[in-house]
Amino acid sequence: MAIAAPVTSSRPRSVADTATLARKATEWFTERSVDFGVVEGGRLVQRPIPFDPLPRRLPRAEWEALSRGLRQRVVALDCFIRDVYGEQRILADGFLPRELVAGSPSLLRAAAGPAARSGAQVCVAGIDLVRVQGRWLVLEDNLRVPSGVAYALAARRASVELLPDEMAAVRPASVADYPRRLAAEMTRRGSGDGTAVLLTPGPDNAAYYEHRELARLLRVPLVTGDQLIASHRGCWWMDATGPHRVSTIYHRFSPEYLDPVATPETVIGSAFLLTAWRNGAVGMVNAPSCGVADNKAVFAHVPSMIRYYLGEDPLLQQPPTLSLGRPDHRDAAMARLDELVFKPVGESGGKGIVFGPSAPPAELDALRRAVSANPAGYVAQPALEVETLPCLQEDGTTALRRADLRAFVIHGDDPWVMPGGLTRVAPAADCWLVNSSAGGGVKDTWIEGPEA
Amino acid sequence: MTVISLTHTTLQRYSAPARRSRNEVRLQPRDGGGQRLVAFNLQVDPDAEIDSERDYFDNTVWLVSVEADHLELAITAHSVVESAGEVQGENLAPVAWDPAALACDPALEFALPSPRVPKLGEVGALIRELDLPAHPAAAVVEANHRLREVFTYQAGTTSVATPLHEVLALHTGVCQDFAHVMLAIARELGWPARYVSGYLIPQLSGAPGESHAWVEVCGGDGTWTGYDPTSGSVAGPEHIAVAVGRDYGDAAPVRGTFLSSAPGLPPEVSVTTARGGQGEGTDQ
Repeated sequence: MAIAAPVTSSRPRSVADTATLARKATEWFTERSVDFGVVEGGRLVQRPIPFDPLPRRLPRAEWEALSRGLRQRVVALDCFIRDVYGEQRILADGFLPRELVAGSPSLLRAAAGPAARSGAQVCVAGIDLVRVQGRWLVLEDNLRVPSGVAYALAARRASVELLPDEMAAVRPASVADYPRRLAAEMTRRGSGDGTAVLLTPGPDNAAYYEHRELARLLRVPLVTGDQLIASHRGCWWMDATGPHRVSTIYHRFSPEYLDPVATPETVIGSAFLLTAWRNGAVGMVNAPSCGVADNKAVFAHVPSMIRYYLGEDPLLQQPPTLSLGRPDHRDAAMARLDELVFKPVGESGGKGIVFGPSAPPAELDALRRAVSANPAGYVAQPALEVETLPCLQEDGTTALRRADLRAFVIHGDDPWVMPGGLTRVAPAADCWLVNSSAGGGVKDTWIEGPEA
Repeated sequence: MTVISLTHTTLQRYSAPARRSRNEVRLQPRDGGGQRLVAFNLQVDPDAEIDSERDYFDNTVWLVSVEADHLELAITAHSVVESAGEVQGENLAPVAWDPAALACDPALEFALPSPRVPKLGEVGALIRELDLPAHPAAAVVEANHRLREVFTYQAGTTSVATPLHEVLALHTGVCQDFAHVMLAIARELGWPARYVSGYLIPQLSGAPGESHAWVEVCGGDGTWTGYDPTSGSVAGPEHIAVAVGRDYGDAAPVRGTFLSSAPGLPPEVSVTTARGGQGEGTDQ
C-alpha cells in the first residue's frame, strides 16, 4: 500500500525537525492536561493521551461519500430505537431476531415510555470505521456515551499551533462548528425553561478531561449526580445559590447508571432522573434508550434496519458478524478461533475483546469457557488487516501503526457529520487495539479539498 | 363475583432522619384478566408529591417523592377489587406454541432468562427429580402441582436477595422463591412465563390477608394462565394480581432510595383484606 507523504510542507523537514515536532506535540497535550485515564497497578491514573502530530488526510470526495453513509446509518439506528420502545414493528415482522432485543442486557426497560417512542433519541453518534485494502468498513456504532470528540478538537488546536504552514497550505475543513451544533440540539431536546448541564461521574472517569472540556465549550455547568434533584416533575441542579431548573442533561456515563431507583447498584446517578426523562420533564443527550442499538449483537443487523426503515441499500459496508448465540455461528467461530476477533456484546472501550490471531493459548481457553457459559454474550468478526498510518516516533523517525477513525454525527432534523473526527492509532506495531484505554494515541484528521 | 377490600401498608422507619426519598410503588391491582379494579387510592405520610405512570410491563407505578426530613414513611394503598367468581379447572394446561411464532411474539421475552431467574443447570436436575411428563404442557401443570412435594415452604430461610441457585440448593423458601423456581422450570420447558405479585384472599372474611407471588404461563393462543406453585393449584378468584414482570425485580411492591446518615430499618408490611366493598368484613 502506498503511503502519502505524512505532512505537506513548504520545506522538507529534517529528522531533527520532526524530533522537535514530536516533543512539542507531547508537550502541547501535557501542558493542557489533555488526559485520558489508564489503569496502572490496579487504579486509574490520568495521563496525557499520546498525540501524534502527523494528521490523517482524506480527500473531500472520499469523505463526502463516507458522510452520506454515516448519516444514513444514524437515521436508521434512531428509527430502530423508537421502534423497539414502541410498536416493535421490525421484530414482529421478523426482520431482526426478537431474541437479540428481548434478551439484550442493553435494553433499558426503565427508559420505556412516551419519551422513548417519539422524537430523536440519538443526538451524538460516534461511529468507528477502519480502512481495509482501501475500503472503509464500519466496526461499531457508539450511541450510549460516544466519547473522544474533545480529543479531536484538541488535536486540531494543536495542529493550528504546531503545523501553521501545513494548515495554511492544506486548509482542512473546520471542525469548530461542533460545540455550537451540539448546543443547539441539546436546547431542542430540552424541556423548555432552565439550563443544560453536563453530568459526569467525576474525576475518576477515564474521559474526565473531555467532560470538563465539553462543559467549557458548551458553556454549561459540569455537575455530578449528587448535585441533581429529580422527580417526575423535573430536574434541578443545586449549587451555593440554590436550585436551578435543568432543561437538558448531557450525561457522560452509561444510562443504566443514571437512576438508582431503577438500578439499585448505581452510586453515580440521581434518584428519579429516568422518571423525569420518561415524563418529558427533562431532556437527555443521548436518550437513555440508545444503548439497545449499540449492542454488538444488534450491530450485525444494521444493514437490515437501513433497508427496513429507509427502504435504501446501505451505503457503508461492515464485516460479517457471527452471533455466538446461534449454534451454527458458534460452531463456525469455535473452529477458527485464531482467525477471529471476539467481542462481548454489551461492552465498550475495547473491554473483553480477544484477538484470535495474537491471543496466547491461556486467553483462548478462557474465551472458550466464557463463550460456552454465555454464548449469546459474544459476537465474532474476522480479524481485519486494517490500514496502518505513519506515526512520529520520539527520535523523529516514523513507524507504521494500525489506525481507525471515529466519526462524530450530530443527529437532528438535518444530521451533520463533523468534517474530521478522531483518528486513533495503536500504541505499538504488534498491537491490534486502538482504544485509548489500551494505551492508543490520537491524530488530527484533515478533510482537504474544496467543499462540494 | 366477589368484592374485596384490601389495605396494604408499608412502614419504612429510619434510624436517622431521611430526606429526598424517592419510591416506585407497585401496589395498584391490575384491571382486567378476571378481576376489575373498582377503586384505588394511595396515602403517604408525610406529605409527598405523587403521580402515576405505566411501566414497560404495563403495571401502574405510583411515583412518591418526599423532600423534607422524615423519620418514617408510611405508604398505604387502599384497593377495592371485583374478582370474577369462576373457578378454573385444576388441570388447565397452556396451548402449545409453534416455535416460529414464539420467536417473533412479544411473549418471547418471558421465555428467556432474567436477572433473578438465570439459566442454571440445577433446573434440569430438578425437572428429573420431579420426573415430569415428556409433554411440555403436561409437564408444566405437573410441576406446579408437585413442586411443594420436594420444596418446603419455610419463612425466614431466604430473603428477597437470595439468589435462585441457593434456593435450588436449599429446597426451601417462601412464595417468591417458589415462583422463581416455577419460572425457571417453565422456561426450561420452553414456555414464556412471568412473575405475578399480588394477594391471596383468605376464605374467611376478616382473616389477615397476605402478599403473595405466583406465575403465569403464556400459551400459543396468547392466553396467560396463572399457576400457584406454593399451593400447588391453578390461580383462581382468591388471587388478586397487582404487578407482573420477568421476575421479582420487575414487580417489587415498593422500591426506592433516600438520603440519610444511616441505613433504613427493615420495612414493616401489613395487609388486611375484607370481603365487601366498604371494608370491615361486609359480605355482599
